[in-house]
Parts: sequence; structure tokens; C-alpha cells
Amino acid sequence: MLKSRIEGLIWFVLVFFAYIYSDSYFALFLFIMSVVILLFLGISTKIIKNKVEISLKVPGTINKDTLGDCYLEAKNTSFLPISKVKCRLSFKNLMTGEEGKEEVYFSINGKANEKIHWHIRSKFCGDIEVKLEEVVYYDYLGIFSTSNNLLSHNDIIVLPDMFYINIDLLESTVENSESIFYSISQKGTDSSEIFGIKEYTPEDNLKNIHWKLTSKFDELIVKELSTPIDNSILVLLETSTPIGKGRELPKTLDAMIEAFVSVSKSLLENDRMHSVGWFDPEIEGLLMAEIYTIDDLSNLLRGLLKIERKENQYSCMDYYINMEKDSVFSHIVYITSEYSEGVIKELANESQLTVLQCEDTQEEEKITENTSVFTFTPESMEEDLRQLMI
Amino acid sequence: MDNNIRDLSIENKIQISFKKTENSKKEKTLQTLGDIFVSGLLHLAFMFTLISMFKIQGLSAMTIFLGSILIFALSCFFDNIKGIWKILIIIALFIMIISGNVYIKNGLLLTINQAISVIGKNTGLFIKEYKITIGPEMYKISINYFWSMFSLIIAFVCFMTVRNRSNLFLWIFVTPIFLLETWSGITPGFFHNLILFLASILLVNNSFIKGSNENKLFGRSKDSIILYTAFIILSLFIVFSFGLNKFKPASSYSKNSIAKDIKNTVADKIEDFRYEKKKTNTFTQGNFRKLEKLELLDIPALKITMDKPTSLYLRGYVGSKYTSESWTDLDDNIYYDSYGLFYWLNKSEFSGFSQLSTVNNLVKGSKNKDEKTNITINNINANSKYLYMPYESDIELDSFKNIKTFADSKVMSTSFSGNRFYKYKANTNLVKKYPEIASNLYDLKNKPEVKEYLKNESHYNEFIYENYTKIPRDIESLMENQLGEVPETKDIHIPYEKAIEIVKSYLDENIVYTVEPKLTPKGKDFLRYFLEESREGYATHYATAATAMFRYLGIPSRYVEGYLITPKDVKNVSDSKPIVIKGTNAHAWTEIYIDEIGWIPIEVTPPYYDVMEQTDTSEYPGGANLEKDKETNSSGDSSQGKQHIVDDEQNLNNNPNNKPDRRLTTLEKIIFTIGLIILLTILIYIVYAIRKRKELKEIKKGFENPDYKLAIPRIFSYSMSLIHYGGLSKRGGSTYGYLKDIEKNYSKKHAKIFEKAIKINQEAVFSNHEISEEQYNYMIRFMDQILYDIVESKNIFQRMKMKFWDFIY
Repeated sequence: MLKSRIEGLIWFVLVFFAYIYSDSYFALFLFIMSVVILLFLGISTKIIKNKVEISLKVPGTINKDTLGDCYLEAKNTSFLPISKVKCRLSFKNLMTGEEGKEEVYFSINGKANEKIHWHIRSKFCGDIEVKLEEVVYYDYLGIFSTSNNLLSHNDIIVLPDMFYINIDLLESTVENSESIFYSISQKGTDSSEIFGIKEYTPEDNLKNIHWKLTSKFDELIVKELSTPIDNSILVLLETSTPIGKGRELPKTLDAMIEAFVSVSKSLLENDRMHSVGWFDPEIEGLLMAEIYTIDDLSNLLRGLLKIERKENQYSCMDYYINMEKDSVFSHIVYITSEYSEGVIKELANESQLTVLQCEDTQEEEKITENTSVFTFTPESMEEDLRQLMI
Repeated sequence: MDNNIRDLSIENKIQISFKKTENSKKEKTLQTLGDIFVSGLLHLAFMFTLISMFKIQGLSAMTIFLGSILIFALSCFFDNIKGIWKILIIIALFIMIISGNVYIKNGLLLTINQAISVIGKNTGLFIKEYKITIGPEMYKISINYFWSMFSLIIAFVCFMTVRNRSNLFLWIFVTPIFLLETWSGITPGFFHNLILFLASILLVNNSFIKGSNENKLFGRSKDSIILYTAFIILSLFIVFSFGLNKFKPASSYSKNSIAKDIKNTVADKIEDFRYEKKKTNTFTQGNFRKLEKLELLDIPALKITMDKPTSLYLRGYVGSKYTSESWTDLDDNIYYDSYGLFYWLNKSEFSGFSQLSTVNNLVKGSKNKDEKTNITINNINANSKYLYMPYESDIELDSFKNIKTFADSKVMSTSFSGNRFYKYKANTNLVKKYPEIASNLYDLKNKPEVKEYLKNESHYNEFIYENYTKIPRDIESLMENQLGEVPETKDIHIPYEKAIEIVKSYLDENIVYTVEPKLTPKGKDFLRYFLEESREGYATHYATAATAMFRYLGIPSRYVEGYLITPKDVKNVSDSKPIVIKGTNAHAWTEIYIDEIGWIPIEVTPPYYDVMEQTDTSEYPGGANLEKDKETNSSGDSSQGKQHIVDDEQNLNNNPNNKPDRRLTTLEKIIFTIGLIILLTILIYIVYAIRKRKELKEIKKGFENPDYKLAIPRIFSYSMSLIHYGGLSKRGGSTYGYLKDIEKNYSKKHAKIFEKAIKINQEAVFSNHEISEEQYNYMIRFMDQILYDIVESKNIFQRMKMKFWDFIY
């Protein structure tokens, strides 16, 4: 463009000089024709500016590492062909923070449509915001241009991969009278379910005598009652980064999301209803939802993938601990890249806490009372998380 | 398969790729048509413009259309031509050139000679023509042979220009042609120029649309857009051409007055800068539009030293052709056509500048030595464009450097700031006694040397009468109105004295001398306004009118401006004492040509009648007598004073258009040799570049091997060569050894990327693992990043060396 302008200027100076110096008719023609061409170029760019409709079409969702078909469609309603149009596209993965720009050049004939096909592929999941930022129309010689700042944008959801995790639930120690699950190791006072039977001892309540078995065994047999325990599960995903840490690596964020959805999906496949939660910067608080079906998970995913990771002095766990709760989850799966020991200890008092920590290198599993810490790497997460005990 | 995959960065994992649309046959055809149209039009326009400009004769249309055929063939088949065929074609062309070497060389020389002739006729510039070594019967073949080769070369250049999306052709070939037209006034047909301009616009459009590799166009329209835009531009041209011709037809075109004023102003400023110091007078060198009040300043103009001080008319500017705005030189083609005449006249020791002295020498013989004087001119403030020379000059012009003469009328300096110091020999004042000289010459006409002189003078005489008796038709009618019909005479023209009398009487009776006359209004003819309306003026006006009147009366005359060395200036001046001639001595007068004698100044401005010595006409044999003798000597044709050439023996010398042939001079041989060496060097470079490009192409082809285990080692190897080229020393041993160097010279991040690349390469080379597309893409990005970093670290010259000498990428 600059080169064309410089050449145009040099040319114009030369023909002006030729017209002044020469008395020939052609010198006049050359000069005036050059002026006419310049005027025509300038006017034509102004005309075509409002005569072109450009739209961006992208797929709503794609999978990771698969090509998504997109296209740029331009419709020229004027009779003038356009030698060159430049569309500047910008891309940003809201979740991972990756961004970039791309310029697409094409021509379009008069009264014609043009479709530019292009593919997008992302290695990581997330919400890719595709914007058509600017359209520049050039004249036939590249001297003049006019632009439109279009501001149209579309989103492409790149779905995370999911894999099956063999999840074993450890027995909870949290009692919940409304629960349908009973402890297999602890006796209680709930008569809905019999824990076991034993011979009568004087301390036993007479109401608990199992008369049927007593008549059978000719001895007094009493029922041992069960303890209903809470088997509620909460899967928490860390969506902030500690202050000073900077941005999380895209592969780490991607791995965390995949672990998150894989855990949730695996629970659903084992008929385990559960809750999920994460810190949502828009509401500046913890967002929690119950997941009964895979659709529930899918509906939440779009919002989750849009979240931009920012630094926060409080972790997701802090928000959970400090929020007002009606009840406590017996099992908490916390997916993060780093965690605070203190917070973990505090939570471990109440619930069975499993921390899935995403790191560059795999470390040994740490198990303390009520807390398990599993590390996994983005490269080998499927292997690392194939068996979980929560 | 998608191509043009671009990552947004080597770290980003979002990849954008553009789908390569498979060109349909129709689109490929349109693209080819577009290329053929642009390159073909450019080729034809260029060729026909050159042919029309230089009026090349004897050319067959086929020679030009050969180039068009080549363009068509190349556009259709170039990409499919295998390497071996390209070499064969080049060899075939080489054989054609070698076998037709004589024809090509002579064809080139014939073309150059023709161009020289055209340039000469348009600019007056005389360049000697080259000797042709073949017979005239072979000229046509030779010219056609040369132009066929030239057409093929230009066709190839046009094709490559369009193919490479360049518009260099416009700047290297087309713009110089337009500039040449502007400078020289040599123009081809309007239509040729129009088509060449159109083709150039289409070329620029083509190079802009197709652009560079970085800004490649997508979509289907790119193939046909050039044709559509060509149609739009062509329509614009047609509409505009018709429109312009309607409102400002070519036949009656005169330049816009503002443009003229700008040109004149700029030209005047340049002239003043070059030649003027302190202006000593307001004479305008024959330019009527600049005339204003006459001011002659009392400041030194010239300092003249003569070893025999004598009064003289010093001629500076001489006007040969009258126009309504100024006196000008004769048309350039007249100077060009008469070059041979003046060359042979000078060879025969005849010069219009020293004619009076020559005649005087003939009649006086050895007694003449006492009348010689050496004159030194030191130009202090006078205009230095012209050399000031008297009518009595006795010089050989070859002794002057950097001058240009205009058919022996004026002597102009070609140095940038003119000439301010020169010397020459002259006779003492001969003007006052030219009738005596004429009489003596008449008495000696049978002497061999006088005969020889008269023979030469007859040629010169013919030229003078042909060119210095012309006046425009409207001025002729003006003269007829003012002076009446030319008196009838049995002689060639009325006697000089009678003519002088008529002119002087008219001017004395009808014109009032004033130094501040009314200025000629714009658009009006200067002479007409002077004689019919204002009837007042000073020396410029009087001299212009007198010159036109003498011409009307059939006597050759010219307008002159210069300085007078008056009798008063030289009175009591001792020999060799410098005489300061001031601005007050500046003057304008008319000079007429006296047959067999030469140019004589005639004073027609009344206040100056008594300034210079009066001419002694008592010795004049009588104009009638001399004219009668001319009749007896001539072969009978008495048309307006022209004399037929007396001696027909030496036809070669007498042929005014016979210009001397020559061979190449030593300098030209050297230039030719250097040119050949340069051409050879360029050819060698082209061969070298083709070879290197081929090698690079082969290397890059290896990167696209579908078997990644083969492609990756090649990519890695190339990347390593880039790293070494970037300055990293070669190491033996493991490639991991480079990590530290890379971290040191680039960054830790680069080292990390390099380490991963090593791993992938080693996996490809040594392991049985399958290499994924992701790993392959990583290697490609790695290579691109290295190349990018190295290119960025180089300056523009280093980058050019990388690309055009080392062929790194």
C-alpha cells in the first residue's frame, strides 16, 4: 500500500513535469488521465464501502484437535469489482488466553458473492471468540483505501475431551438422616436399615429385638441399626490463579477442565448425582449446580469455558469454606494446579477431600486422613486418573 | 489437503488454515487469459510505440507477433515445461543468436542509425551513425532478424513481469520512453501512447491484485478480477479519450496559459541562475513576452582587450525564426539535415562566422596582416550563454570547447554557467567597408581561390535563402499592408541599398522611439501590435520589424542582440589596453546577408544611426551589377536570389545530406566491451540463480514428504544450517551441545524449543515410533521461527545477500 502510494506520487510528479515541460497533446492527456484515474480510484473506494455486506460464519462447537469449518461471506451489491479486500480477524480463547490476528485478502467481482472457506483447529478446549474487526477496501492500484470497523463476533466452543475414570467412593463419615445411603462400618440409630444382628445384651433396647430370628434361634436376637451417611459429592474446579503466579499455562487449564468434566461424567455413568462448582468472576462468588444428567453438565460447560482466569487472593476453596451452607458435602473433589495446605486441612475435617492437582511432572499420591492428593500431568492425565478413590 | 496453514505463533495452539479451492478449468482459463491479456498488450504496445517513435521501416508484422505467440505459449505451458526442455529452448535461442549474429548486429546498428536520425531531426543533436557491414539488399532481413529477437526478449520480459506480479517494467522501460518523448519531442502515434499507458495501468493493477506471497488472495474471484478491472479501466480510457478530444481536440491544441507561464517562469529562473550575474540591460534575447521598459545600466558588462582597438558589432543572441511571442532558432530538423553541409563547408575552410574576414583575406592577400587583431573577452556581467563575436571574426571554431553553433548563426556555450573568458582573432572593422570588399572580390572572381570560395559560398547561399527569407503568412500580409507589394525587379531581389532605404524610411516615418512602449497584450502578435497599434518601441521593436521587412523584400535577414564597441569606446585607447563595455552599450539590430560577402549588420534604430561608423557605399560596384553577374554565372534559375551550386564535380562533398560514416571509436569499443561483460555477468548470475533456486526447491520438497520420519530429519538439518548461517559455530558431537549456545545467543525460550525439536528429530531418526502430525507441525514452526529470527537480525543488504546470493530461503 505504501509502496503503491509512493509509486503513484512519483508517477504524478513525473507526468506533471512532462505536462509543464512538453507542448505535446499526449502530455496533456497523460496528466489529465492520471488525475481522472486518481479521482476515479478515490470515488470508487467510497462507493464500494457501503455496498459490500460481509458476514462471518463459524461452527458453534467443535472438538479439540478437529477442524472446524468456517467461512467469510462477502456480497458485493455494486457493479464495480473490488480488486482487494482485507478482512482482519482476531481470535481469542477466553479460557486459555491465547489470542492472535489473521488477515484475509480476497477479490470480489461486481454484483457477485464470494465465500472464503477456512478451518480452525484448537489444541485446547475453551471458548474461542472470533471477531471480524476491520474490513479494508482497496482501489485497483492500491493507492486509496477505505475501511469499516465491523465489530461482528462469534464464539466457537471447543469441547474438552472426556475419558472414563474408575471412581471408588470411600465411605463418608458425615451423617445425614435423610440419606438413603447407610454406613457399612458404623452402627447407628436409624431403623430403616439393619446394620446387623447380634445376641441380646442387657444394654440393648428391647424395641430392637428381632422376634423372627429369636423364635428361630431360641435366643434373643437384636437388630443393630444403621447410620445413614451422606454421600453427596461436590466437584470443585479452581478458576482463579494466586496473585503473583501469572497466567496458567493453557495445557494446564485444558487438563483441569478435562479432569473436571471427566470426573463429573464418570460419576454420572455410575449413577452418582453430584454437584459442581467454580468461582465465577461475573458474580464474584462461587457458582454451584447440581448435575443429574449429562445435559446438565453440557449446559453448564459453555459458561465454564468462557471464564477468563484471573488472579485472585482467594481460591475457590476459600469461597466454598466461607459460604453459607445448609449442609456439608461428604466428598469433595477439588481440581486445581496448586492448593493451600491449611485450607485443605480445614476442609478435611468435614469432608472426604480429594485433590486432583495438575502439574508438569507427576508426583506420588499423598494420602492423609480424609485427604487424598492425586497429581496428574496434562500429557498423561488419562493414565494418571484412570482410577480414583474419593 | 489444506495448505497455507498458519499458526498464530509457535506457542499458540489455535491454527487457522485456508482451504485451497480447487480451480475449475474455467477459472484456470480466466487466469491464463488475464495474464496473456496484460503481458500481450504490454508487449505489443511497447513494440509498436518504439517502432512508431523511431519510424523503423521495413518491418514485417510477423516479427512483432512472434513475441505475442511466445507470450501465449509461455502462459499456457511454462509451468509444465520440464527443466530439460527449458534448457533446450535456451540452447535453441542461443544458436539462433549465434547463427544470425551478423544480421542481428547489423539490424541493431540499422535501428540505432534510424533512431539517431529521428533524434537528430527532433532535437538538432547530431550523433554520427554507425557503419553497416552488409549490403543494402540485406537491410530488410537484418532489421527483421534483429527485431524478431528483440520482440522475443521483450515478450519474455513482459511475461515474467506479469508472472512475478512486478511492475518494474513500468519504471525501467515505459517511464523512460515517456520522459524521452517529453525531452525530445519525439512522439509516437497518439494511439500507441494511449495503449502503452493503458497497458502500464493494467500491469500495476495486476501486480497489486496478485500482491506478494504474504498477502495472497483467496476465493474464486481472484482469477477473473483482472479481466473485469481491465474492462473498467479500458472503459474509462475510451470515455475520457473521446471526451477530451471533444472539448480539447488534438488538432487545435495549445497549451494552457498557466502551464506555459509556469514553464516559462521556471525556465527563466534556471537561465538567470546559470548565466546572469548582475543584469546589465533589459534585452530579453528575442523574447517578446518579457519585454518591459528598456534599461541599460552603467555597469561593466564586458572587458575587452584588443591589440588593435577597433569599433565592432559584437553579436550575441541571434534570432532566426519569428513567432508571435519570440524569436527562436530554426526547427531542429533543419540543423540536423544541414549538419553535413556545414561539416563539409568547415572542412573546406568556409565559415559563416568568418566569411567577411575570409573575403577580406582573399582580396587583400598578405597585405591583410596589419588589419588583424587579437581579441580577449572577459565577460563580467553580461549574459554568458552566448559568446560575443564580431562579423570580422577570423576563427576556427574547433579551437573552442563546449560550444554549439546553430548553422553559423550564434555561438552558444554548453557549459553549465556559460563561458566568461575566451579569445579569438579578428579583423579590424570591415563592416563599414563591405562595399569596397565586394567590389574587389568581383574584380578577382577568376582567381582559383576566389572561385573555390564562391563555389562553397553557393552552397551556403542556398541554405541561407531557403531558411532566412521565411516569414509567417499573416506577417507577410501585414508587410504587404504596411510596405505595399514588393517592387518588381529583373534581378533576384531589389538592390540592398534600396531595401535598406525602404525599411529605414518606413520606420522613421511611422514609428516613434521610446524606451517605455506600451506592452503587447496577451494573445496578440507582437509585430502586428507594434506596426498597427502601438507604433512605438526601442531597438528590439525596430530590429524585429526590420528583419521581417527585409525577408518580405526577399533579402535573408536575422535579428541580433549584442554589444557595440563604438568608435567613442576605442578612441585614444592604446593597443592591448582593456576596454570596459558597459550595459549602456547593449543593443539590438538586424543583419542581412549580402551575396558572396556574408552577414552585415544594419542599423535601423534612429538614435543609433550615428553611433557606429557609416558604411562607405562609394566603392560598391552596384547591387544591380553584382546581380547581373550572378545571372551570367548561374545556370539560369533566378528564384529569389538563390544560387545554384556552381561546381558539380565533387558530388560527395556537395551533397548536403552526406554525413560521414565512421567505425566504432576506442571509447565506444570499451563501452561495448564493458556492456558485453555486464551482460555476460548477468547471464551467468541468472544461470547460477536458477541452479541455486532449483537446489532450494529440492530441499523444500523434502519437507513435504508424507512420511514424517523422512521429512523431519530434513527439516531439522535445514534448520541447523540456518542456525549456522545465523552465526552459531559448528560443533561436533551431540546436538544437545548447542543448547547452551542457543540460550546464550537467543534466549532460554529458544533453547527450550530447540531441545524439543532435537527430541522429535531423534525420535524420527532412531525410534520405531510413529511421528504424529503435531510433531511434524512443531518442526515446521520451529524452522519458520529460526528463519524469521535470522532474517530479522539482518540488515537489508544482508537479507538481499541471503535471498539472492546464498539462496537461504
